[in-house]
Amino acid sequence: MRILVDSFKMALSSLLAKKARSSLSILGIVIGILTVASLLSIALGVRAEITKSITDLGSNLVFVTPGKVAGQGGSFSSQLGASTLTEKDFESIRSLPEQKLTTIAMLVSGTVKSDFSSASDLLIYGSSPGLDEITNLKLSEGRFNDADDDNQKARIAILGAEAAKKLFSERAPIDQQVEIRGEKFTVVGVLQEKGTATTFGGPDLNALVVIPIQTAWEITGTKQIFRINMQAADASSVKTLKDKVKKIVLENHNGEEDFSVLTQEDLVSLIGTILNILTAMIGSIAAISLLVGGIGIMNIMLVSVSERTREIGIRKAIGATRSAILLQFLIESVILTLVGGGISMSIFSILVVLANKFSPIPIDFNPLVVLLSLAFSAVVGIVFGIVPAIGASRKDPIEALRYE
Amino acid sequence: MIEVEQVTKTYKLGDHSFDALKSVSLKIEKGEFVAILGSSGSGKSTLMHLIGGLDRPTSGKIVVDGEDLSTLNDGKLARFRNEKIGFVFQFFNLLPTASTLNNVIMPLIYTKKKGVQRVPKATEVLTSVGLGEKLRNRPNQLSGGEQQRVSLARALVNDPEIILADEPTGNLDSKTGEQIFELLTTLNKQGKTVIVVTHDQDLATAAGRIIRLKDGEVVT
Repeated sequence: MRILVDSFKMALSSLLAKKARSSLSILGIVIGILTVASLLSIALGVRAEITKSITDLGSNLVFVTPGKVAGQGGSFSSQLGASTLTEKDFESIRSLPEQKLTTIAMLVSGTVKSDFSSASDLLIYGSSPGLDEITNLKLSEGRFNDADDDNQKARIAILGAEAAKKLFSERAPIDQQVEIRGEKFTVVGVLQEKGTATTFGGPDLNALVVIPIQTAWEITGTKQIFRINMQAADASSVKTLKDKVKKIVLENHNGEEDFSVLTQEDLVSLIGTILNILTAMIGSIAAISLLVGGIGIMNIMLVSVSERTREIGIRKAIGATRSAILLQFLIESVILTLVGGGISMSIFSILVVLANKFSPIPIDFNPLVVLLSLAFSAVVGIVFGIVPAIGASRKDPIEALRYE
Repeated sequence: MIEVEQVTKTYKLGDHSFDALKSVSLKIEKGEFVAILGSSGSGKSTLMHLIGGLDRPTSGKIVVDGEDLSTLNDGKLARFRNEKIGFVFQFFNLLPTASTLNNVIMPLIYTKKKGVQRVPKATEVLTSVGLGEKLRNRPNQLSGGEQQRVSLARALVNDPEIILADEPTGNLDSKTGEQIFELLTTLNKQGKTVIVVTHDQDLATAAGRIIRLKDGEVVT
């Protein structure tokens, strides 16, 4: 223990004797660790945000979508073609005991116009009643569509907060008219603004324009079902519901699996797979800068060992063992990288505060990232310091004493 | 007691080899003051390095206090140097960045001896060589004689039985050299075995015995 303390003191005084050199080596490590920590945090932030947006959709949800999401990492583009889902699928699964609520939805393309402005970037979404319950959408005023609206193919619309603002700016939208595909719709409800607005794949829930599904089918002249949204009775029945739905729809489709049944968990893990690849990529790029920093440390330690050959000779002559010399030089490089790690974390915490003020992605000051970075910097110190330290410990004392 | 038996040290320089010591045998009793005299290249420094455990002979053996140095591994040899030997070098070999006190403390950092109070011990030894006022000075703030006295203090701090001095006066003027020799004589009177390597005949006469080396062999 005492030798550790002594080695630490000796290392510190040698490093302080060469301040400029030590600072520059530390700078290399600071840049490396900072890059790794920042990119890692951004990746974690994005992941948390995406996971949150999926769980925010509602609870215990099961989605049936057209097209096959091929296992893990499949694409969502299969949803864009003509739907393979039918009304029969809907009818055959809507009364399963494990489900609490089942809705169907269809996307309608088109521009929405009001008397004041028009917007082509809104998401016109035909839905059967119950979308509000499934997706946690809340009204700020008015009402949602109900079964009567579907029966009457009513020309009514519920606007997302952003959609309402775009079409009516500050005016009250309720009972105002909007035009979709040449037909007049009456606004009956406005949704509250949603915090985590974007879901994976982009639809902005604040840009929703919800109309009854039957109305959507009538004005488009097609009976497309873009997706069936189901809510399981409780968390424990999600899995059973998924399996049952899959089995029934598969029968409906004569055994052809041209659809996918996904739970929220599936979505999270699907996105997670993609994010893992991205995180690994970003991580390896960041690791390169840390590698460069590490090589800087190694370089400076090699120079230091060579310069201090005589010192090594003296220490050996007065009784320093190989391991004592090794420890002294190893501790020097570890001090360099640990100080670098410490400085990085101070800068990093400032960056986190700034990022949360100015960037749309919330970044946590994750203690795990800090611990990992510090541990990693110590490892870099050992890995890149060990070769010079071994070199120092193996020097022949007589040769070393003669060294000029 | 130091026993050197049939010791040969061969250095390989490229293709040809060179015998720095040729089958040297000698005995030095405990408490002796011995001067090893010889011109440069006579093998006197090599002999000193071997006795001090800084190097190993090519053949033959060296026994110090009944301990055969060839049986010691590197770690034990380091401990031997730390506890039994005090080295004094021609070029002082002090650490330029460390204070006088820290230079003298250094052997105590590596010692396995228990219960040594580092700062009081180093201060005591420095005072005994007349440098009690210069504990905080760096080597470059000291004269050559003072630096050699720091080096001597460093050699003494761990209470070794044997002081090995390699040309301790080689870099000093004759008056300062004499003072260092007086110090060595005092130490010898206190019971230390002192071995001094030198090529200065006059100073060597201060020693109790002179061993002359020529071309790697003992001539007297």
